[in-house]
Amino acid sequence: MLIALAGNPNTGKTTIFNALTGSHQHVGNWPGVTVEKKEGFAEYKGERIRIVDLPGTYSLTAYSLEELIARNFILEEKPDVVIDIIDSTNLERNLYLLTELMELTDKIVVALNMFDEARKKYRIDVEKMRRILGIPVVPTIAIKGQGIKELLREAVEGKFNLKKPEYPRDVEDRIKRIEEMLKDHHLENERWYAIKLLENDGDVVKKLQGIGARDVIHAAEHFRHELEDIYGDDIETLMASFRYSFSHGLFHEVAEPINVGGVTITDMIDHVVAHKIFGIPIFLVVMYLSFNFVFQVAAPFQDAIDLIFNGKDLSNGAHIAGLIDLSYSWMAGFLPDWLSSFINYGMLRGLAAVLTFTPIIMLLFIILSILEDSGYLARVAFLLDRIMRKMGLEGRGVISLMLGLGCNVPAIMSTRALRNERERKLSIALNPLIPCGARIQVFAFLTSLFFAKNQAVVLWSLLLISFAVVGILGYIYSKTIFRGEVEPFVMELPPYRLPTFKGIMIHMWEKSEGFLRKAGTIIIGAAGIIWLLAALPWGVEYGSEASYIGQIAQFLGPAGHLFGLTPEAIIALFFGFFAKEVVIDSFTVLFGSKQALLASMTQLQAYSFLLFLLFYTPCVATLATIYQETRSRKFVFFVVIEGLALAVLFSFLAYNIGLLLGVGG
Amino acid sequence: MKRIYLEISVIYAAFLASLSLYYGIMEILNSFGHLPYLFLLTLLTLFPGVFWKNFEKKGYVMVALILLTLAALLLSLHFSGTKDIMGGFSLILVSSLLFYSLHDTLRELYSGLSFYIVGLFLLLAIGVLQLLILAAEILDYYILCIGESCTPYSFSLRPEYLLFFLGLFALYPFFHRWEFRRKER
Repeated sequence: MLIALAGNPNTGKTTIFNALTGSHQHVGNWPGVTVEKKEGFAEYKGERIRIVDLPGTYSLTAYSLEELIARNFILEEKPDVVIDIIDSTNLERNLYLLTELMELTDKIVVALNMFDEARKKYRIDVEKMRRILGIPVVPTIAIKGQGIKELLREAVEGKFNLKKPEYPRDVEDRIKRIEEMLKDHHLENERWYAIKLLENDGDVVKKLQGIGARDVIHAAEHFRHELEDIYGDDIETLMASFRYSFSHGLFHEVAEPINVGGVTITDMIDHVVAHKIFGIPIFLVVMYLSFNFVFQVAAPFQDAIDLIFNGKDLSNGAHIAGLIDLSYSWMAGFLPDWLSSFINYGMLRGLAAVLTFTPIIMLLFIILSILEDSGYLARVAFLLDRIMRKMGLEGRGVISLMLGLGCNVPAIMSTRALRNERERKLSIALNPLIPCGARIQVFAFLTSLFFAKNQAVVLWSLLLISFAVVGILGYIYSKTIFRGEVEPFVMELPPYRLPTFKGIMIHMWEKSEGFLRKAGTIIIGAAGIIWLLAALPWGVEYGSEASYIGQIAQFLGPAGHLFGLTPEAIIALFFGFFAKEVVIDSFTVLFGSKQALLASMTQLQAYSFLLFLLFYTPCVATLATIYQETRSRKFVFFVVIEGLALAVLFSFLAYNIGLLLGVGG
Repeated sequence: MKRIYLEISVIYAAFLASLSLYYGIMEILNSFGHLPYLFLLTLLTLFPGVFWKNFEKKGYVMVALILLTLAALLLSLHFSGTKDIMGGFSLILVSSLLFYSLHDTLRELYSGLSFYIVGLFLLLAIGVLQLLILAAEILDYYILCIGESCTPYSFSLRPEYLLFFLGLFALYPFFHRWEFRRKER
């Protein structure tokens, strides 16, 4: 048996999918998070049921990739049952998709999710809804696992006697005539094809052209013009308004508002956090508090990890040995000194340097998960939507940019949710300018050394510069190379929820896992290579001018003078091209101690370096993803040049203005 | 919700807003207890007096205003924190939200209560975060002390701790939110 899960974004579809299949998957409040098809299996009375999670969509037109994936799956794979997951707190709006699904299949189970939240807003008559629609309707509270068993039972054993929504007589007559004509072409679900032909659905027209149904296409075109003349509007608007009328009517049949004013806690909070004056300051304060919390609370965990790996030099001159020292001494008993030194002071120390910053990454993702799961991040997208529109991007563009704070790779992939190619390319071009988690890790490392007292303020300033540059460049691009109109889009605002501890931990782990895996593979390898370059050729002093790394530094060194970048900093940036975390490794291996690194740069040089790192070319994985998404080498080249140009500009300005003003010298 | 409790809540919110603004400015300037700021604090704590005609229990309100102004003045001489520009900005924002809420909350309107609740929650969130940061600092101090002979940890009280505990007493209208109205009668 095959069950497909359909629904609007943010209805708890992924949570229900997880509850049914037992798998762990990202659950969020951001619209458009489920872009690809996901599968799992559930057991019911010994029967193995295949469950497919379709992308979240608001309708089933042919305008976006998600909508096409969802409807083609239902048409071609013919699932035994489609479960339509509805956010009952936004019942009326969610019913629109149901009307479209009812045209596509007869076997639908309606899951009224977030039923507990909805009860605060309306009295919903579930039985009446079941009677009107003729299909099973099950109230669920996915986040608490309530109603999931009933949902599965109804999907397997429920009675289906679907009463399809009907259009006005003029429309119905024409749909039936097209249906009759389609019978010769042996299509299943002729009514749906007839409706879509009438709507002039591009994908369906193409499909019917392919099977030689040109006569039907011409007839549908004729009927369409007739209807447009009768109703005085274009067919798309007409059909959408008929469906909205159905969902509006159904809503008023089954739901009765409880509070006359209809003001909920969500409405009250939105009144303030989406306020045109207070909204942005609140967002800035929330971001600042988050970063302040992350850095301060991570400090004891970082110091503990540092102590465990590297030991400690005591004030009386004694030394507490760390794991690396102990491992070195142990290996020295059976390995040559250079090899033991390579493994421990090259690879292990590099690994430890990165591990020291995992508490920051984990806490950062905990905070991001709380903001996301509570529903606040969706408000931020809404709040910034006005600004983003000026940049030529719609609301979902904000979400992909904010995902970039975690990692640019999934953020660039998430641009698939954008409706048109122009906005997609614009979003991809801007995404690498948002500092990812790895860059933030390096910022944390350097600010903890050079700006210990104002760590949060310095990081906050870097983020503000990044957002400002993204805004200005977006505006310029949207008026020049990516010129065009912004598609209209309704921003989904899910109700505020108290995030669950389990949910936060799962999200934090999903996002941090990648960093840890990278630490165990790429970073440990990169640390080894850097150590070798600093130690070879044999016999030279480690990291000296005669070593390979010293020679590279001498070669690249002059390029950094204009920006205050030291040769070591340039080497670190060079290795950062493979993965940004490697910048930490490079400094750790090159300097050996934090004191030596601290002595190598002034605060101004460090800030200039941070600005360079903020913008310069993204890592290899990000560039590969950009190529995969655009299939254009020119575009990849453009992104590299864009980043380098910005890095050079900001670093140069900051360093030279700072020198002129005598700041941070 | 009894009218007297609502009116006292509004005066109390003004007291919290004044203290937040005072401590916010002090955190930015890194100075405490100067006379002009104490004068400003007094004026702001008495600010609900501007809506005098909207109060029904005028006698109680008068007493509460005087007592809270005195309390604000006494508290303002303590909790001298360190310089924290963004921390100060956060407190000033909380203060703005609370001041903005006063008039409409007094008139039992949702729009006022919305600002009251968000301002208060932000104040409580800042307090919780600062308390967690304090716990982390203590833990970090003792981790760094391993192998060394250290004196017991000593810390200066930040105003956010005080405002957090004072803020808990202002939650009363939140539990009576259903009695508020969407628009003016």
